[in-house]
Amino acid sequence: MAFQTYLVSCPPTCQIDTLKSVASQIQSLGGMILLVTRQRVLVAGFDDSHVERVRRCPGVEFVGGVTLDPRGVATQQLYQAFAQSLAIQVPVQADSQPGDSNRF
Amino acid sequence: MGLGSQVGSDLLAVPFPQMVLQLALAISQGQAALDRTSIQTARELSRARFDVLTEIADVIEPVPKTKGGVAFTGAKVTTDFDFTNMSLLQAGLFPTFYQFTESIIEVKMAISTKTSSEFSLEVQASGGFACFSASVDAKYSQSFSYSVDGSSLLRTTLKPVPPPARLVPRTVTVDTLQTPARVTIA
Repeated sequence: MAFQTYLVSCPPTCQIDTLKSVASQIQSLGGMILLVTRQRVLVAGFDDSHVERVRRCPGVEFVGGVTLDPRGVATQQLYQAFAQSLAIQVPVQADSQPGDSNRF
Repeated sequence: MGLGSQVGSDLLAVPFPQMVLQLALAISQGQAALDRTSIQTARELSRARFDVLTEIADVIEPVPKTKGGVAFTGAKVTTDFDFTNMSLLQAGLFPTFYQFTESIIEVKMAISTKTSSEFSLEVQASGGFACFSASVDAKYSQSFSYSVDGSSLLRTTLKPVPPPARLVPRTVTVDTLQTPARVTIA
């Protein structure tokens, strides 16, 4: 089993709460949200053993694997967007003290 | 039928051609389903839009200033951000394509035969003045057992592969800043 990047799309007319619910379900499976677009499409990373569970989540219309092309026109910007999203989701593992500003 | 020919007929009874055919059909159906998913992913990627910062233009303009009677050249920097709205497919996110690269059919058979035979003979005789009697008791038994155990294993390897060239969109860039305009196809 391996952590892979997937495109998860919801119906374009779905409510933002549905999108949030899908995102939180992916996170509850140990996944990470990398990008969310206005067209109700999420790019998320999660273990490939959870693909069917994500596909069955209420509000999910389609799930498909994606790969970042290193020669793409805006690959660097996508990398940056993914990194920014990850930065606010990955908990800090260092020995942070209760008063530290970098503690989540 | 001899034992050797029975083992041979049991080995021949393994439906190997059908197994290969069924595996090949399953692989082709699986491959078609995977390709359909990848093409659907490409459609979804072209639907999702993403604002890409393509250019940051810094314009430095001189702003002559005087301070304490001393004139010096100041500068004013104007920054202009140019965002381009493009699809995730244009930006560089491609659907992952998978391919069955290797398939193995493994059939294991264990054939065991056991033959045992037993022979026992009991002779009893008694004699007297006028009569004589004798009894012979012979027993012969043979047991024969034959068992066949079989198991089969089908294993396939699925690997991600680069998208087919026909599915990757061409990027045509027309640079009109140059004379004549330069066209680049990537």
